[in-house]
Amino acid sequence: MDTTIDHIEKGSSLGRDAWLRLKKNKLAMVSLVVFIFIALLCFIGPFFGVQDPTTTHLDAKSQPPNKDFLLGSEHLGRDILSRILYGGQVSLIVGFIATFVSLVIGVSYGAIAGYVGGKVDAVMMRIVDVLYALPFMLIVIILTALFSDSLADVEILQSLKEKSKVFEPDLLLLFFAIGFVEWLTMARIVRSQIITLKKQEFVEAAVSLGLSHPRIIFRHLIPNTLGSIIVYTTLTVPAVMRLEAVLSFLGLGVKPPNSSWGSLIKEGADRMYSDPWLLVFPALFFSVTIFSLNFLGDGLRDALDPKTSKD
Amino acid sequence: MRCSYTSFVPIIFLALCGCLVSCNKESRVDWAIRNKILLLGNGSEPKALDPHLVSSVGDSNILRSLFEGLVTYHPTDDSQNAPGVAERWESNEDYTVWTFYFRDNAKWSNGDPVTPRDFVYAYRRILSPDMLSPYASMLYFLKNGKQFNEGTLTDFSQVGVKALDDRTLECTLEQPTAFFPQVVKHTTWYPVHPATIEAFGKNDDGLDPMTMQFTLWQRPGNHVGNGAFKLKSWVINKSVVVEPNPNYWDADQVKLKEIRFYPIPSEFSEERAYRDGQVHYTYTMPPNMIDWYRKNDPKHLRLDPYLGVYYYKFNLNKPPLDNPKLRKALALAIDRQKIVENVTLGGQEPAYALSPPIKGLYQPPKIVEYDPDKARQLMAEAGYPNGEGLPRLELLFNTQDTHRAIAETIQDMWKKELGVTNIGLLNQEWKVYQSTLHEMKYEIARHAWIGDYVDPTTFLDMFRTGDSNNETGWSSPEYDQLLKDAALAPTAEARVQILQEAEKILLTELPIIPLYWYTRTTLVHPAMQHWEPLLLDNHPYKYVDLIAN
Amino acid sequence: MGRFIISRTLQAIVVLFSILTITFFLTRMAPGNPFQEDKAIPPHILAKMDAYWGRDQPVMIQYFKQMGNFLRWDLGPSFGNKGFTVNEVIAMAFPVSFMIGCAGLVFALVIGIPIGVLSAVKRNTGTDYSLMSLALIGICLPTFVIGPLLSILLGIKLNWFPALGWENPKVNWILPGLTLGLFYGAYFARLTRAGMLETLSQDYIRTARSKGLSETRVVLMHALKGGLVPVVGFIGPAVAALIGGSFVMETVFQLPGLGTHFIRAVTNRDTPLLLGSVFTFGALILLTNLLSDILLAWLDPRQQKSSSRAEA
Repeated sequence: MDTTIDHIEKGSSLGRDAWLRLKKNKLAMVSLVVFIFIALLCFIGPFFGVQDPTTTHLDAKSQPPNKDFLLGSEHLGRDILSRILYGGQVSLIVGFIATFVSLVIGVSYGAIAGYVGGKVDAVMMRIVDVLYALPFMLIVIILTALFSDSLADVEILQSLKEKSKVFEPDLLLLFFAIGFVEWLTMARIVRSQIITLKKQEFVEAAVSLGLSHPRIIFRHLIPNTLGSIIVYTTLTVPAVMRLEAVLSFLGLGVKPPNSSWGSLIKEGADRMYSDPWLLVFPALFFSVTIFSLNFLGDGLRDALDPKTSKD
Repeated sequence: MRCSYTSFVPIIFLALCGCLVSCNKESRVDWAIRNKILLLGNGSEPKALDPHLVSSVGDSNILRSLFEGLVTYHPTDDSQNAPGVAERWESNEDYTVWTFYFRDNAKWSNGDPVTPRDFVYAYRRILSPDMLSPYASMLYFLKNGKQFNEGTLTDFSQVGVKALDDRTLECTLEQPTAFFPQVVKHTTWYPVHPATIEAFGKNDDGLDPMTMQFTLWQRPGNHVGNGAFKLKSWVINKSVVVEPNPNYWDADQVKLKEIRFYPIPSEFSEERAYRDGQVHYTYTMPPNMIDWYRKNDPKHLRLDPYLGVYYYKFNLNKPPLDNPKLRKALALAIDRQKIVENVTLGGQEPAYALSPPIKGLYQPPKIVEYDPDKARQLMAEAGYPNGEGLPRLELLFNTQDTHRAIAETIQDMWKKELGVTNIGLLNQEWKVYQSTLHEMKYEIARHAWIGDYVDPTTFLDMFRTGDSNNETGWSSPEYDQLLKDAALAPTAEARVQILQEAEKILLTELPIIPLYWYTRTTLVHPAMQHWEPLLLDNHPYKYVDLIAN
Repeated sequence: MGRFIISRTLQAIVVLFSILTITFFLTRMAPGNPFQEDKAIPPHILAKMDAYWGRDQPVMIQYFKQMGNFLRWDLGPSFGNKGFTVNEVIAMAFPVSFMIGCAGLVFALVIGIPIGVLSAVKRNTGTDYSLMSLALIGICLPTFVIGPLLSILLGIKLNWFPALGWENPKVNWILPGLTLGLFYGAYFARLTRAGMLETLSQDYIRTARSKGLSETRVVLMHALKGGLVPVVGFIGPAVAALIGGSFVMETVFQLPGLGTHFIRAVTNRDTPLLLGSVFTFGALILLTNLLSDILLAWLDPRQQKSSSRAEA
């Protein structure tokens, strides 16, 4: 047991070991490369002569892939490829920021509730129950109505908007709204694991060594739940991207005529029977990203798991 | 590879139970045709089955089977009238007093005779301020109807409707209305069965039973109507089922054994339901599938003319939209032909005026057209050459695929033709959109209007000063006066001319941009007989039949 | 255990009360009038409608009235359906959502957990990768893609099941249940695998192995319990979401379930119906979270450990 503690206490070497182990995992490395490639494609690709994502070509609408439109054109004749690339910028930014927000809140909240236990745990988890049951859609409608106009007036956001093709001041609200719901399940998962872990010998040992509670939670308990945390985080990214599509439906998030992966997939799903490529290509980009993130997450999990090395 | 076999097990299992269910089964529509059951997709769940509480098209589709007005819909032509409860009707010379002569065999579904007093009761009920009827304004045609509805007049005997005897009803109107028989076909003019309303409205709170909002009279078993059908069952979000009313005066004409109305709000699901053989008729259909059916399965596709207009409205209280040149420039820069051919796809007519043309009745003036050169010139005259200096304007629409596609196209057209780059698109959720619209917080907004009766005034009346549907801040005394004059015009031709004059004013000042005139885009099963194209889409069900072919 | 359940029930009352209170005030903050329609309603009628529903009274009075309705267990009529009370609306929709939700849960468990266990045991092999890829497809394709896809393929093309509708519930539950099952099953599979990997490296598993127990027995009798811990954290909200009805599913498959009412209540600003739906959903969340906490206590590996010690 003591070895475990030593191992985790030496944070820096853990990081280096993990990276070495990760490098040996072929699937994870391929995933990393694929992911970086897609991100570069979305953020830098548009500079290399793709069409304007919002210009309509009504005479060339709903065309399957051809030499003018590499991935086809949609119902208003806009180029799918450029809509996917620009949409990817929004989806990746939203996916990562909102996931990060929910990760930080969810993990610390769940860990504290699970570790402290008793009344504190009960109160904290009942708050989670309340938040689960509140009508999220209504909250979003209110948020949009109350803050959308005032956010649009903030100068920094305005100038950001002018510089970037896809940035809308509303995106800040979007992060908030998504972060608001997505951490709940993360908190429950982490809590359930902490509860089972905290009675194990190594925690008892840490307590008897006189380590502080925050240190036990963040240095000893959370690292032992990393597996589930990483897996659930990689599951949260697609959930967040999907949620973004729903919210843009309510007028929050990406504003027409801009796109995001979620909204492109939604549009494609409605037209899958008549124009299947409208669904296939956005779904492909989305899926490849999620696949690579998940395999990368699995590799990371294996690499960070202090026990794997002993096997 | 052992695992891959195991993962097939559930699939094989599914296939097996699927086959057990499906092998040699006949599709629902075929079963329904055999049993003469008509299965209709009908938009959203009905708000009520009380003619005085509803206002949507889907709701009135159901009510049309359960009730019958004085005059009723013609099976092949909506501008014609067919006798309903009234056998015949006539008016005085200046069309201000109308007399309806009842047939003696008109009965309620419980066997009671339908009398003129039932109609007086119904009109009193819908006009009562306590009834909170959303669409009572349809009865403002009656003399003093508006005053009674607004509560400034409490004596109903002064309202222009009277039962002369057991067979005769007399309506006195606010102003001459030659098309009055058209108007009384609308759901709001249906009668209700007074004894039923009173019995279920009884309450201990001392409230008037007539205007009680929520009583059980609308339930199957309690519901009493006078239409060709009566209510059989109503399950929320699933279906409303009606069956023939044996007491209906024309019951021999009725051929169907049952009609089932399905609330299917998603046009995509509805189209799948049709393809799966679950409904005979779709309420609407997605534009992309219109194209698909046109190419692959044209015999199911129906594109019928429909009396409605889709338009953008300007808020004239918000500068620079008070500048008529700017409005005109924006209106002239839109290539409507391209929009109907590529975006809406349902064979809609590009609209260059508010009221659609009505064959044999009204031809709207054509002032607006697609003229990008003139638009650019007007833009420069308005002070925004090449769109420069134009402040940001938001184009508002409610969240829906077609609205968004049209807005995106027009935004792009303005950009290409006028160089206008800062038109923002604002999509709002339905109720937020409505409040933005009604509180006039918008700048440019999409709107649409479906005619209530076959006459251009159902459209033109909207833009009178102070009309609650105007909501543009536009007001023209001349326009108001012309509409008043039209009612008093000596001949039908003179009336049409005056109405055209009025519409010219509207189209010169352009508080709105008309975009297209509607078509009804639906899928209709070939077995459906006597479902003819109708301008208002109000099909009388008693003629409809199902014959396998 | 009895005390635990009593205390949770008391907590539940407080939670439901807070949910209702917050929701009520949210509905009053949202823009939009529930009675306004596309064709503008004359202002004098609109004002009368507001008065009829007491919406012109001070907010606190409206609030106490609504809470009073709750205590009498009668939410009155909904704004939107003028023929039915909220109680009736929910009573009609609940069985449908319950049936679909249970079917979805069974499919999800049957698909998800074996896949998760198998790929954890065969970790980093071809089997693992192909099973996890399968699960990831379920995660990448949201219900609004899988739903229409299954409906078109199994419903229209192969004609095995009705593509949508609720005319024949005996077979209508299959496709929606399967759609939900594939989606949640994918989550279950990912989480089970993660939990299993964590458990398989724990000391008590090594102890079990070193005692010479067969691998199958180690996995199914000892490791599975601990491996399901992260799934159980997820299962509470997941089951509530399954049974609470999904708007997307109900739209795609045209089902008369709870999800549609919930969304309709929000979009129509229908306060009574919204409170009713939120109450139903809140009660479901509390119940499923309670059950998952009980399950968690049962899965606690410490019990496992003590028993294995006893054996030793």
